[in-house]
Amino acid sequence: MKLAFVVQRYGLEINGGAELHCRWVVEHMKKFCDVEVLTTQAYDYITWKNHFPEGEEMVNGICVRRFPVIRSRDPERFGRIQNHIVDNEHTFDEELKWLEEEGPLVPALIDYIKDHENDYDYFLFFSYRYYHSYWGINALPHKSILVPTAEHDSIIHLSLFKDLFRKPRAFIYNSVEEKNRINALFQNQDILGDVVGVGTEIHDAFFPDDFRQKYGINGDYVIYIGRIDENKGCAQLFQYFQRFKQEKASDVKLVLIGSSKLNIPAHPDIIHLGFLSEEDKFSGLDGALMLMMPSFYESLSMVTLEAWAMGKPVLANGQCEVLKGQCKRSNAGLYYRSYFEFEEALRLLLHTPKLRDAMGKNGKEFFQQHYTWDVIENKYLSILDQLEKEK
Amino acid sequence: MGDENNNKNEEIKIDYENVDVEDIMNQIKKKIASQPRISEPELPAQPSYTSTQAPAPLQPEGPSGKKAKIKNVMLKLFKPITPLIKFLVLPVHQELKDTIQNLYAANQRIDLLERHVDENFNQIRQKLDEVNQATISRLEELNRVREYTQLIHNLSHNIVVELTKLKIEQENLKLKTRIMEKDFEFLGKREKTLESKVFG
Repeated sequence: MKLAFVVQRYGLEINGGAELHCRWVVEHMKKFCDVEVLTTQAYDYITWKNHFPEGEEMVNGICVRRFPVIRSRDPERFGRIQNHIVDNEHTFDEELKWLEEEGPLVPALIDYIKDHENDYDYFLFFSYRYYHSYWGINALPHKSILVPTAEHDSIIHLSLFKDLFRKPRAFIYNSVEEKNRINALFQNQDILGDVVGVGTEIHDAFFPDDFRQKYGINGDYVIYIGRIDENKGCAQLFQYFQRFKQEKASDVKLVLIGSSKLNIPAHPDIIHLGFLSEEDKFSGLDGALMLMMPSFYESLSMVTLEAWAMGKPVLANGQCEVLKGQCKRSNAGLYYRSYFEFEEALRLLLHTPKLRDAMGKNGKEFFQQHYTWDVIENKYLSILDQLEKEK
Repeated sequence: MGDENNNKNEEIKIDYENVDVEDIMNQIKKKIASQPRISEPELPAQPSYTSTQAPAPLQPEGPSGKKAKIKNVMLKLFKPITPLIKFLVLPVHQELKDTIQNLYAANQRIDLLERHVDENFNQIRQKLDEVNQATISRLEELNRVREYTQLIHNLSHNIVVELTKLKIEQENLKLKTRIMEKDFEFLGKREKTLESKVFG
């Protein structure tokens, strides 16, 4: 069986959620099928400017075919069009215009899919909202599998997606909440679909003491790993954490790992370490009391799964339905919707090592049950088997 | 972090063998609801965010003194072609910065309002509980009064019935007395008549 994974960006340097998710799945499915990646030359997800060379490239033993983006995205113009689309009545043509503006505009990729239909058994499209998924699925719906990675945003209500979510042969969802929301919106329960998500790999050895020594961190700390961004709820986390420190006179520190697009408050107990290697990241996580996950919108938080895989509890933003649902199902994390809940939940976790241990254990079990690569691979294979039987 | 602090969390009951996150969160919510938090302490790092007054939207800082005068003169001179200048210099970094600052201030105001709503919610809930309790006790009192009134009514009714019976009885007895008096009078007259016949 030959599979084509179609994704907006691809490369070892790219750490974005859906793109990394795609790369990991591709590299694992390589054991079972002949796999190729169809993608763009883009590196930057804001402008989609061509960065990688056009044509074929081998990335970790996978054939990657890159197609040029014919027009970069102008964030200002795109913002204006998106605001108009979201806030006003509009036509279907305006929605198509929005899709073009959002990009990445790669007509050559769509042409390739149409011309090479018979070379592949299935095309797996990642991220429903981009140009490649919309036109790719419309070109070959009978060979399409969609991994929507749908966050809780208003774009999903655009009329152009009404048909899109009824066209693919199968869906691979990231979470129960995502599946329920899409089923409720598009009434597509009759189409084959399963909640799969993505696995993760944890380093065998961690060196939390070396991490502390290397970065000069003393005492207890909680950790945030990921892009430091307003959209990720980091501004609210900083506010809440500073207030907690002031009111509760706690010694706990907040360690931040990841690149920042936000002004980080100059507080002695908020320590920003920047982008770190995987080894340092896992060592830092291992030494932390818990992971903070303040994001408002997540279709699947990989770092949350990594924390659970390492037996660490999570304090998540309860306004994100997916994170809240995962905390409830795993019994491995608490969540908050206001400062008061943040304060109580953080205090409870900080002062109750027994609860942290119990939640860490639950998190490990939850991870083993749903998110090891064996489980993920089997789910993908099961969907492909079912599609083959339906042929 | 230690066990010595565990007593602080004694309000939250946890079964460590079978941790139930939903149950813990419900307990946390109940705890928050039962301890309404009234004041917002100020954070020195971000005073505008935590003050009890909502922060006003930020105004772009303008020049002062001579600079301001020169600016005013220049603005007057260039007023006729201002729209053209604005059009040509778009997007202006300063304008974007100001917009972002205003949005940030608006966000702070919204956050503050949200916190006030949270607090007010707790206060309103407490007041409602108090009103509810008072209403329940008033209702109980009213029920007692109603039962008492019902009893008084029944008692009055029974008294009226009994008094009526007694009145009738009294009338009967009066009648009987009168008859007996007449019989007695008759018997007296008869006695006198017989005595006069026998001894007269």
